[in-house]
Amino acid sequence: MWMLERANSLSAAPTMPDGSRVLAANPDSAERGDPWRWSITLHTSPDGVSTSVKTDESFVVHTVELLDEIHCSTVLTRCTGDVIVVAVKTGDALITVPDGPWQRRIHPGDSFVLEGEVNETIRVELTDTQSTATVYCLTPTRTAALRWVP
Amino acid sequence: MADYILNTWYVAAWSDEVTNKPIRKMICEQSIVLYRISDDQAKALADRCAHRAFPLSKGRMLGDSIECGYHGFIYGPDGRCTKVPGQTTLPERAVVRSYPLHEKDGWIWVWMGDDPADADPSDIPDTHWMNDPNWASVEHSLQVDCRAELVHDNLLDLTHESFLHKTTVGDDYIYEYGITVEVDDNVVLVDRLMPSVPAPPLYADTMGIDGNWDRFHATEFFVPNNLTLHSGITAEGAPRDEGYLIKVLNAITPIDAHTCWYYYSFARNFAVDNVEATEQLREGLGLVLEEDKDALEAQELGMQTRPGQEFDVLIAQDGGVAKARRIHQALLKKEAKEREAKEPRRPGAPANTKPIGAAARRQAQKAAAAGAGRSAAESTTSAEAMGTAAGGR
Repeated sequence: MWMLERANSLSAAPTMPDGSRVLAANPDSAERGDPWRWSITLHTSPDGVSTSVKTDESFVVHTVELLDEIHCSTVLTRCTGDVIVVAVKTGDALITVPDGPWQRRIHPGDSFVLEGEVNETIRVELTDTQSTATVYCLTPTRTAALRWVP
Repeated sequence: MADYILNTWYVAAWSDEVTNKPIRKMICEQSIVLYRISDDQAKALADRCAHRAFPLSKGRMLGDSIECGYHGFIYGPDGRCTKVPGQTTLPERAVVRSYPLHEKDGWIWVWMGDDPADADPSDIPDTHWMNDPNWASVEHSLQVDCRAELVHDNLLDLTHESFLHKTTVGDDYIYEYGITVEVDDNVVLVDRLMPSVPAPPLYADTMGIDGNWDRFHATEFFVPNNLTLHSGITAEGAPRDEGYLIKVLNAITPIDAHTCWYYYSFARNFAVDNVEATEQLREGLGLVLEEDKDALEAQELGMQTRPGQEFDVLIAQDGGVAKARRIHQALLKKEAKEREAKEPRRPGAPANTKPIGAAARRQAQKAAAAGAGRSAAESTTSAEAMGTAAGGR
């Protein structure tokens, strides 16, 4: 499953008084009682935009990769059972798939989540040298697959 | 009254249902009378005479006006009373609500929001396939005894085809392919690409084709009420707009908290002149819709008997469902806030400066009788405040 949620989506989490907003989380809706596993938060301040991740460390390990002018075009492979979240910090990025026409441009405040039980590859291309993006890879420690829960 | 999103256009009827004989429709617990005037324009008024609440739909047309069948009050197409039998003076409040109405491609849309100025017909989704000579369409409509949201969920998660519609349109493989969910403003798109699969029987039979094709389903939900399913098959790797295409328009109109109308149009751009195919589809799709209706009504009973502390166990496949529900809640909250802003609390207002409802009146009388020290005005405003809170990969 891929989930691309735009910053202007009416389903987006509300912005807190400190300017932060949960960009993506598992579960995405806490009210049904599913156990929390991870969340990625967008922080907006006069200095710019940043993101941070929190995880249930007993269940999930993660890596963070910053895409910038050195990595202006990156192929991301999501291994079976992992979750990848892409968030743009500045500028924008084009997400494409190697063997299909699907492509979307994402901007700060958008979130793109990829998950599933089959591995897959996407390409993230930064539009210009000013653009930066963060890629989070979340890997389950106790189960074969970290399935995203809406 | 349950919570409904009112600042939107709902499909109220098929165009050909509405004639110069008034008919009654219930939308979001509001009864509406629909009829046509002499220039063929359709009109929508509250189906309740201002005099004694008798349904105007039980009255008769007098030219472009409608006469109440109980005591003969006559209303013009704008909802204003134009005649009261036995007196020449018209009571100032003798007016029934007139709803903005827009007719397009065979559907009659009614704006349910309080402010007619907000009713912009350009907000109505594209439905031209119902009325395009390059497409052949089959229509159905049915009342389903379930909350509207269950129909939304059904259309956002088409994996149910593999199980519920096993003997009609089901294909075992649908749930094996992942979905892409996109959420933008109030629109949720759930897209499933099934590359290199055999052509489903509908296409194979009508077009005489075989071999493998790329198949897709993309449900586009304009929350809160309209879902367009863009579906089809294309040659492997070919653009979607070059394929054999189907557009299924689904307009879901709440009647009340546990019942809705389902307006359905299935249009195809292939075998357009094949009358036999059209008739087979009409019959086959009718069966599919009955299967959905049975399941949704059973699910509604399940929902009504489920303990309050139990919730759906949603999975990744339900990503679109969950996002749509959240948008629905956001729209409800937005409208509640707007209503509150329009009707602020007026704790010091004197009594009887504006009409009050029966509930408020009872509460005021109770407070006065109990000598609780609260003024009738305070009771009234409290009750009023309660009322207002009311393309593939």
